[in-house]
Amino acid sequence: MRKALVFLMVLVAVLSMADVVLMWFTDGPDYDIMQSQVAKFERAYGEKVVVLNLPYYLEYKPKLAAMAKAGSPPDVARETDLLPWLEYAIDLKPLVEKYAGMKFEEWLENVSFYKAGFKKIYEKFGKVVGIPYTSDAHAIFYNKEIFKKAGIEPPKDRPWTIDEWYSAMKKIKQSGAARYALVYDYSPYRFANLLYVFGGGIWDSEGKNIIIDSAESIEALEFFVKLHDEDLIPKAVWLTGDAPAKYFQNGMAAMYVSGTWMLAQFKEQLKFDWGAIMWPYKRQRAVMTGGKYIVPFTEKGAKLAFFLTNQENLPEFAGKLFLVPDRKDLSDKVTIEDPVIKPVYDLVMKDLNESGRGSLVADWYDPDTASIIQKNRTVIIDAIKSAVAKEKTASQAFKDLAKFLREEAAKSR
Amino acid sequence: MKKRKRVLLVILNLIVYTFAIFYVLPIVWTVFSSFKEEADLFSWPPRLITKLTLINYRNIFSKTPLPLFMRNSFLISISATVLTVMISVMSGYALAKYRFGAKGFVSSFTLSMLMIPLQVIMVPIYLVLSKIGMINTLWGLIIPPSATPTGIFLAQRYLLSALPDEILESARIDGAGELRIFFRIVLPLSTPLIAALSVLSFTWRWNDFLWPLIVVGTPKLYTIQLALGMYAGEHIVQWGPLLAMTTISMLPVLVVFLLLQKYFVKGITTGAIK
Amino acid sequence: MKRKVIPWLFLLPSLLIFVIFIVTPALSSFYYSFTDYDMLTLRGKFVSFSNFINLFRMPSDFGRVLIRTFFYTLLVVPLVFFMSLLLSVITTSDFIYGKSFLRALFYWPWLLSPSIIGISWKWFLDYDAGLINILLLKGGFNPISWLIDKRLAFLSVLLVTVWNVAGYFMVMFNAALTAIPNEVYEAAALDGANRWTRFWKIIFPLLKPTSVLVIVLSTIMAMRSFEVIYVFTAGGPGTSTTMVAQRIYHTAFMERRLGVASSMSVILFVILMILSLLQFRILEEKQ
Repeated sequence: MRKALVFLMVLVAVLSMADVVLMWFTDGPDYDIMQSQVAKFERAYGEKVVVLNLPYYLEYKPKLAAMAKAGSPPDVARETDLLPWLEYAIDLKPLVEKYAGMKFEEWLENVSFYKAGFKKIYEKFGKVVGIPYTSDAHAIFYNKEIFKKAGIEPPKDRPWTIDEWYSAMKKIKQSGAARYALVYDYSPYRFANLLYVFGGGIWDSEGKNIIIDSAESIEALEFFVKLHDEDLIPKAVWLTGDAPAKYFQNGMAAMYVSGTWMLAQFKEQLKFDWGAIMWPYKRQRAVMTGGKYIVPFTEKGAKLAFFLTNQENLPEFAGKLFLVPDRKDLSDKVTIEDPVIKPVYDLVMKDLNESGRGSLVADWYDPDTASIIQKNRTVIIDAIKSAVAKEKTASQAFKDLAKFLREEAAKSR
Repeated sequence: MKKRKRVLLVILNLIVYTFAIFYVLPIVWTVFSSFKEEADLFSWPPRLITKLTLINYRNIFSKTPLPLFMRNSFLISISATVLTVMISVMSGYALAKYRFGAKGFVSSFTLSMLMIPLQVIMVPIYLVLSKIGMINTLWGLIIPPSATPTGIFLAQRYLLSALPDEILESARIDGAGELRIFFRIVLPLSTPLIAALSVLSFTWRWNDFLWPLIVVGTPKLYTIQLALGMYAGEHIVQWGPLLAMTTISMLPVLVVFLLLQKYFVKGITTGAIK
Repeated sequence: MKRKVIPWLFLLPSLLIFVIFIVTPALSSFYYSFTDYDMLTLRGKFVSFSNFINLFRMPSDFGRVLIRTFFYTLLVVPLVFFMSLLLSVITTSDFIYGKSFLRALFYWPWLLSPSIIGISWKWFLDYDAGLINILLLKGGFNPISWLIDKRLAFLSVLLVTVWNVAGYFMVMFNAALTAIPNEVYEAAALDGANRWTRFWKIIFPLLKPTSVLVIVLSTIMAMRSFEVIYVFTAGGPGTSTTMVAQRIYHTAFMERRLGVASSMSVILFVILMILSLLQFRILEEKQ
């Protein structure tokens, strides 16, 4: 009897849900700050918000897709992609003036500053899907104590060349200052940054040709394989999906190729002196950016989304997590007081401003070219892995990959 | 002679127990690691013995409504288990004790349910559930996974050998109805089977990730396995709380097994020997 | 007439659930296997058999994954068989103390969720923080790259699979062993043969029905292996421990090719169906 009552209660509670549903995934210490801003929203508008915090496994997107397809999407969702939601998400164009208090064109320029792909999608489809939320830049962190032990000092106002970077790694390994010189995030996106500084890419920067089998791209992969072969990078990360951050956090690796989203966690967890270096380069300087969107599916959701990205909340959210706010007009509103983070944040911003983006837009954002890459992330990862695991040579791996991608591109045209 | 035999016995037991210790070492190591501080988890050079702490446990209790997740998991696992037991015994009984034309087909059909990878049909499943209105309800978490081929299969094998036809026949001669026979004779004679199905079903439901993920659309319905997944973000895995949550989540199934162990062994195996 | 309807009434709940929640979605999935549907937009066009034809072309490597899965199954099944038999002999032997404690201990791995098993073993064999390598290091040896070396990773995956399921099948053997009448043991003892030959010559043949069952079930399990390996090695290093189920999963979710993934599922379904029907035919003949 009591059980039946509980059933009924939950059933009633669920059915009477006319609240704003926010689908979220946590990525570090962002949950508490989001909660407090949501509470502010509830107080300001008298609406109840339900936060559906789900694991960011492979099934997060399919779950969202299934909800959308069934006609019952959440009101708003935190997401990393826009294209899949083109037809389900609400068109924000008519809502911008009402909720953001800005002329549409002005707003579009403003929010596309760090996310060039956003404007591209609007131009192509004529619909505004999602709001750019926060961006991160790829960054390389280093352990100052290990560097000191190995007798290495990175230049302050310029990046290393790839050769200088390599010899620094050798020196760290030989000095025995750390178990590994470097740990590199397991992600095709992070790997692409290496492609760009070697002058390669998956597409060329115009998105006309696949250049993953160019001499430059192959050279980048060969360099990456060499670092693994010489035990400068722990193999377990790329070969078995081992979590990379722990190597750096515990002083096992001297450097860590990751991004600014790690700053908030590092501030809490790192027990040593640390900093960031600029991206080393061979032929051109490149720093990639990426980040999160917030995608409303209903007007209720849009209201919350605009609230979370307004001039008060966005700088607060970005500042607390040390992210780049996706509104150019607010970038100087972010104040970082932390004495350790501030120089790192500033250095990354300097690197970001001085560098290009390689084929960033063509490879990952332009809907015409990026969809091939999004769809074949696994194939790309497998190609890199097969070279690291010595199943194929670097050039063979990328030649096979190029052939495959060209066929895919031809098919979709 | 006798003394030699005793020495041999001791050595044999020593070997077996050493083996047993190694057998469970990976789990024990996980449990042990959940009491370490995050920084000690990956210290270099590695240290075997470190300071032990409850911080990971305190964290998961303070940052998540763990009792709510636990209650949901228990509620779902227990209700689904009751349902699974009923459904499996009913179907197993029909397959074991009745003659009808399509029996072979039904058996193969049931078995074939084992061979469809659920992940791939996740989106169509969601669409079906939402048409019926089961998304975001406890029913959606309890009913769909409660019919299992393995359960039906075990019930069929058990009843084939443990339930003599004569009992059924004499009951029928006495004029008992089929339903009455099922509830008064078949179920009471299936205690070991019911125990076995209960352990298995409870384990499956407790450990299930996919069904809850498909169905759940509100934090009120979260299960412990869903909560376990929240410690893996897009970029960041929080090992300390993950290991602690892992340790907590494996306790209930162990308790259920230890409680029902005696019947369980009998239930799962009757019919395998015949 | 009435007697014909009754079994169907008993079967109704399970059949209803299967048809509504599994068969209906599976049928749409069967349809997807002839399309190039996208996982997220659920859009695409009919492509007839080209998914099936393309599957065996590079670099999808589906054929290689399939062969690897067969090879893996071929190794897993006998290993599981003898391991569970060994555990069963231990936990029914008259010479061992605390048998029910040991039985619970050996059964424990079967009670854990795949993610727990994957996490625990990954943790246990971790190159830098795993217990085994720490011990090796303390003893002055070089650490072993369990999950980094291709062969060792494959072996580790085998080991974990066997470890995971052996307890379950142990229980099956247990009942079979305890059900053998004492007279058989006594008669065997009179033969004067030693324990080893006695076991294989007299006891083991009596276990045949159980043995066949263990083989059928462990074959299905091995062919479908996915979650544990996924958490444990993510199918690496390279693709050396990627099995069919994982390839399907990745194709559907990472590459978003629902059409292709569905056609892979259809192939796996057909293979499993053929394998188990064959094995069941053998089982029925033997009885």
